[in-house]
Amino acid sequence: MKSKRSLHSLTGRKRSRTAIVGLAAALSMVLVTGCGSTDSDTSTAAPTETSTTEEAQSGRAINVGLLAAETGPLAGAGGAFLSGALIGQQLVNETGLIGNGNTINLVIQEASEDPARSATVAAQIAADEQNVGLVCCILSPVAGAVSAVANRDGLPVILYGATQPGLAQPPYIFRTTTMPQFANETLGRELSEETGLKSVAYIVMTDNEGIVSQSESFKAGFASAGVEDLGTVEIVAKQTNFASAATSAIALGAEAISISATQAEAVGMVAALYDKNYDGQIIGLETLTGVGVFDSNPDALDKVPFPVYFLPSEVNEAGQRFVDAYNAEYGTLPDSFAAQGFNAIWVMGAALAGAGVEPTRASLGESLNALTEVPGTIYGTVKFENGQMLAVESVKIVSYSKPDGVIVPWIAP
Amino acid sequence: MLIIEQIINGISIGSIYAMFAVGFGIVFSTMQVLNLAQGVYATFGALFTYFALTLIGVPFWLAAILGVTGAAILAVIADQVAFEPLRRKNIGMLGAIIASIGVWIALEEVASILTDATPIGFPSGSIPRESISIGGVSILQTQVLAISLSAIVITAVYVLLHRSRVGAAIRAVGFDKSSAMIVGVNPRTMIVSAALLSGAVTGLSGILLVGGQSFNFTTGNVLLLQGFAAVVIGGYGSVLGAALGGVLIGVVQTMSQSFISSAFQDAITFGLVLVVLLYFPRGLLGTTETVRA
Amino acid sequence: MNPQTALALSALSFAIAGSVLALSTYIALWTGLLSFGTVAFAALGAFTTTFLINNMDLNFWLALLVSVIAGGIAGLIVGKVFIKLATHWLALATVALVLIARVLVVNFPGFTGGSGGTVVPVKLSIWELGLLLIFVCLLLSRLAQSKFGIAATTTREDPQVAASLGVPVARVRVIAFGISGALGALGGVMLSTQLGYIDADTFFIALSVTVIASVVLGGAYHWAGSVVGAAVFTGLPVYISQFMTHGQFIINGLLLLVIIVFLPGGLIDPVRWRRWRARRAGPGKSSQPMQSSSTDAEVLS
Repeated sequence: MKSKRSLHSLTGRKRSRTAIVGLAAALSMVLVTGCGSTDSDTSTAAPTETSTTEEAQSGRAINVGLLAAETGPLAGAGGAFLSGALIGQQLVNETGLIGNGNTINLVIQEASEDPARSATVAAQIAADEQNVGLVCCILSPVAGAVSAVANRDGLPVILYGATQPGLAQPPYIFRTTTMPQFANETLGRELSEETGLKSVAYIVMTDNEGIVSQSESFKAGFASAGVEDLGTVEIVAKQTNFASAATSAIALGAEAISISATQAEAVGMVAALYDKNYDGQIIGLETLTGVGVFDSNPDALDKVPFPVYFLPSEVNEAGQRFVDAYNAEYGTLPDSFAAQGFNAIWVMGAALAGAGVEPTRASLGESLNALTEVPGTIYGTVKFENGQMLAVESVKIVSYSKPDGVIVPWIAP
Repeated sequence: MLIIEQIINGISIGSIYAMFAVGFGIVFSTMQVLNLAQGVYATFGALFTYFALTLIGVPFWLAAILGVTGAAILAVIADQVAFEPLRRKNIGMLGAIIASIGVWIALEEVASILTDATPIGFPSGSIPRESISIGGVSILQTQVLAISLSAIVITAVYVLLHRSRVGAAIRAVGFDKSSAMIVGVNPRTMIVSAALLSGAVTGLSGILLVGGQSFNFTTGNVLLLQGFAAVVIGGYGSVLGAALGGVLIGVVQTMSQSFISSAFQDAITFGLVLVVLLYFPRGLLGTTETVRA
Repeated sequence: MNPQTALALSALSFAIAGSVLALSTYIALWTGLLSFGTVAFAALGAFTTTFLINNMDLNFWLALLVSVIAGGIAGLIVGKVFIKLATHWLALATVALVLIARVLVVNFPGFTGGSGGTVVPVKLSIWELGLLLIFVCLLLSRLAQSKFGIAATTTREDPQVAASLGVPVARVRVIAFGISGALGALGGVMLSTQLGYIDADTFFIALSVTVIASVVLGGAYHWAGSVVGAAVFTGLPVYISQFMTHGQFIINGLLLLVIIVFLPGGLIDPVRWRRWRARRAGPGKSSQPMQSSSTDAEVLS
């Protein structure tokens, strides 16, 4: 009897422990599912003024989805895009851009820039008839996955960060990403003319199609100014040995080396060239912008030129308004990621303005398709061609400056 | 002189792979634990060093010591929290792999939160970054540091594992825990020591990898792949083999990048791994493996 | 459609595709081999199907059939080549395979779209996905009762004993790899139809980790475990991310640890159930379990 009981209690305890773990897991899943529904319809931490402006009282709040990336490998950039977008929501509503008393309400869902999760979350947003549009996507595969969902459900989407060519596909997929290719070509041409550059070598990350197309635009720009191409050194996305690529590039003997890579690798290359005492001109690209980049390697990045579309110290009126609002809310100046986040919402607002008194997905889609030009943005007047925004007025050649890494117009040495 | 400079570049990065491989190998070959979280220990080695430099402001050598210590302690904590419960229940490699994945995911997120997911780098002037020119060949001070430190540390680990009582005890526990217990070795202590040592060594490899570069919370992961390739090529169970494997991979990668194509460098590295696995199962310097019936 | 329903349907679709991928890994594990190679076969299947549809206007189901056969053949070849490796070296060899596969995907853009990726123009409905999964499950339950199934279980338990009992260990394992290749290709195609867009990073380490976790956490000792594991490990993070943004990966990681420590045989563990039933029947009716679920057989421990 005794042994039976003790055996039973032993196994009973173990069995119930396992059962409890299982029950707890099941219960937490149920709770989480239940709680999920309340979070998904409201935007988080939004500095909106919808309840206080006069126009808002007579119109409606129009729901537009936004896929955020506050976690995951793109969390740094993702946070900047989101911050800019939130200011976009604020200013669109404050200035009454949409008209008819309507305001925009961002329905924010975390998707970590993961293609599978983004597709799932986009499907969820699309399923809610209240959402008339969606803003998203820093990575091109994520843009691809979301586009598939959007095309199926007839949901207009504005892509704000993905840079691979060809992603914009009317009638549903539009893109306000300031395409680096045009900026790169401009830099290649203008920098060469200003400095009298004779020869250039390239370092290119070849397993990223977006980066490769950026390097082609650099090559086109330099070539148009008559600069000789002395060769290309290839690197890969998971590059660890920057010294080796630097050695190869320096050995080509060019007066300048133009780098095309994603952020971490671009900084690595600049640092390696600097450490190896390369005495020519190192030329960077837009991926060098971002919070913390300068501080991570200030000596190497100082005075390395790269092109941007947005510079807080040289902005038009709309840009100044954006900078002031962003600074008031976050205490820092916006970078080009935040600017793109802001601008995407601004353009969405402009499109909603043309979508009638009570915008629907269909009317928003028509409005976006009809857009050829949007004046008064932070990039000046922007054009739209085949769904792609072109900000031709606002390319600037800039560089970081010591000691604080403030981005300033670049001055040729 | 291009070739010589590239060979030095290759040996330099290879030394870092070698050091990581040795650290990884300590638990993999001696304790049969495939710890996928090892890459994050490397990240944290660099991270703790960064915090020591920026928050406390100590000189680099001291910050590196703090970083290495931090990584070592992290490895022990992870081992005791994740792997010890599995060992007590006698759960095999499969479960251990899952546990290590859990540790990897969780710790990487912690690193992401600590760095705000932005890039960071050791402050200017903290680490010597000049380049030395010898007869047309340019070598960086960071490279000299990497090569010399790796050589010293790897030799020290070898001596520790193969010429000291502690090392013998660690290897005994890995080989057969019960037999080791019979001769009076405390397996718990040895396992913790192995974790401590492996954490310290991989932490140091992380610091050397990022010296002079900017890095982020995912940086350690590239070492994981190269490290496992080095252990396979160099030979199971051999510290020197893993080190040799690492240097070999570094040189092969560099040569293939500069003179063939960088696009295929991973294919070459892992093609080598497959070739070694299939035709040279003991690797370069491996010990024979016994399979218990 | 209600957004919660859309979310559930989408999570379910990914879970079904994940189940097939998990089953591909399970088949190899059934014979005692830990293989990370499923994602390489998945890449083969997905890119083949997409290529055939986009460039040769082939009907989807026909393209799927071709891809599955290609996956099966690739699996057989890999199995034949790797069979001489001892178990944990085989695992590492399959990791090397995945890494090499990625390089191949990036460097043959004519076939795969290169690093830019390629659009998958087909979307399978939840019913079609479900049917495919049911078909695979039926296949597996038939296998479990067949000679192959018994041979596989015996091989996993102890290959030396199995060989001495007359089980053609090597042949069983190679066949298992062939089936693993076919299922991997199928799962890859299913996943690609849900993503709508695939590139070199789609079938890489992150997916590999998810698949292995699904198999082990769901239960590495029964094929139903892989299905349940995929449902939990693919579906749960979607729901967790609704609830919290920062720290969600910490939760995922801790969840893995908790499950593996407390339920080491996974959620579906027939041996654990057998033990429970035996204990409930009382100490008089002893039944020593034939295999212990907490220790992996032979070299996997």
